[in-house]
Amino acid sequence: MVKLEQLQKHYNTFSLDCTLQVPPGRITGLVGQNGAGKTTVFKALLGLIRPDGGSIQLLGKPLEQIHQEDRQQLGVAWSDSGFSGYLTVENIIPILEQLYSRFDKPFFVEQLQKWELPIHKRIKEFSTGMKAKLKTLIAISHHAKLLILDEPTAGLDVVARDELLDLLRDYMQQDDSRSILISSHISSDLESICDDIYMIDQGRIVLHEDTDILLGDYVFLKMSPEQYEQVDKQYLLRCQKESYGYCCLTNQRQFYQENYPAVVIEKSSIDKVITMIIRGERL
Amino acid sequence: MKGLLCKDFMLLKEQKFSLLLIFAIALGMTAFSASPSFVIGYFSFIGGSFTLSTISYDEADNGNAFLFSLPISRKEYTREKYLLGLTLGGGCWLFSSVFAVLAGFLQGHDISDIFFTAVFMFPSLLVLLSIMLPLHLKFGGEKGRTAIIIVMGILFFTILSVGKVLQAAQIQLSFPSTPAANGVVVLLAFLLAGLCVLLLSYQISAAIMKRKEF
Repeated sequence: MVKLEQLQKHYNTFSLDCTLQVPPGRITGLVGQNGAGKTTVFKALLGLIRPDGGSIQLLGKPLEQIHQEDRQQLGVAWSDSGFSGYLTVENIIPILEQLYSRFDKPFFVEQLQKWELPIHKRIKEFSTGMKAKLKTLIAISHHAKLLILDEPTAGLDVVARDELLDLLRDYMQQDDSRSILISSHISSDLESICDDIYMIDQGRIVLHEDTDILLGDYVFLKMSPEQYEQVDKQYLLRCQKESYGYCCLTNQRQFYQENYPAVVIEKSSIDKVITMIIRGERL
Repeated sequence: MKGLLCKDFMLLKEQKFSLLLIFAIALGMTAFSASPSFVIGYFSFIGGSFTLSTISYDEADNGNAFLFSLPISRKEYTREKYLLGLTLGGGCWLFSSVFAVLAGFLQGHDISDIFFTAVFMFPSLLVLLSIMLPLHLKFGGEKGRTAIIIVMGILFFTILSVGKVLQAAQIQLSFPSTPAANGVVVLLAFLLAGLCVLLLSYQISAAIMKRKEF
């Protein structure tokens, strides 16, 4: 569905160098801090900026060969961009009908009612959560093959966030060949929905892993200085000095569990892994 | 294209108060002005420049990033803006021309003068759109507005000067045996020049949009 190979984009204070893939039937997450390059990746992928190098494939075609008909297969939601705030939802419906040959108006209207989104109110008067819901709803209402969602959960409360993630799960269940590329700086949002996760930092992919492995096999080893000296370090990804000794990240939980039973093993979360990958020392 | 036009008309619908106000001013000006032909220029240009406000709406809050993620090509977007400009400007031109001729007739003015102004105003509208659209697409709302003010000033003086020259020419033209035919030739030349400028302007705008990053 999506294939980025050594995609490069250089700005004065920022450089992107990214390789990423989203296979059919998968939900792929892109996690990173604000300013890490997530939106730049999405913009390049959609042809909104010109890359300085590398290649982009979208829906199995090089980006240059993507035409308007192909774009009918895409559903896109931006965190900081959408229809003009001066329009109402009532205004948007005929626009979407004109733009998308497969716009599902009954579904759109049903979801509007379910989420209690007002149709006569100007979008600029919507709350942040309402805007976020509307953007995602617009993206999924025309039976797209690929969703590209930039921080769709930003500004949503816990309940609304769950509702939105449920909607995305339903969307995926309807067709096995659909895919989603979703970004967030709140990784816990993605833990429950993504099949695999890319971590981006300062324009570079620093980690790519299946979510199950990330949550199951990536652990933190908490060691005294003596333990640290003795352990086999070949599977330690990052280490950080702590007051008690060392905290190290590994993706080989079983190895250390079996060979170093005295070492304290702590389960990781994606947020903790990101922090360690960014701040920890590479051995 | 239909989707974009639909969006822009929806946006214009939201500005209906401004549109009605301009209509009212135009009607008032025609009814009470000693020169009803002035309203043709005023109304046509204001109508055409409403296209620029739709570009500003598109740009606001980084809206272009979303817009160009939809099934819309940059070329199509550019074409739509020109079509919208012609529709709005042309519509206002037609409406105001008919209205000015009628008002002129009722007020006892020389209708041929008003008619001549009306026909001359159309290529001027094309030139105005040709200048303003690429400027607005290139520089955006803020700087674009400054450019509009400058262009309006230049255009005002140009029209004034050309009008005077034509007026003088008409006096001379009344002398030869085929004055009407000469007038038509001049107008056709203006119209052709306007269309050429518009075509060139579209090419420039398409190139601007092609290079733009959002």
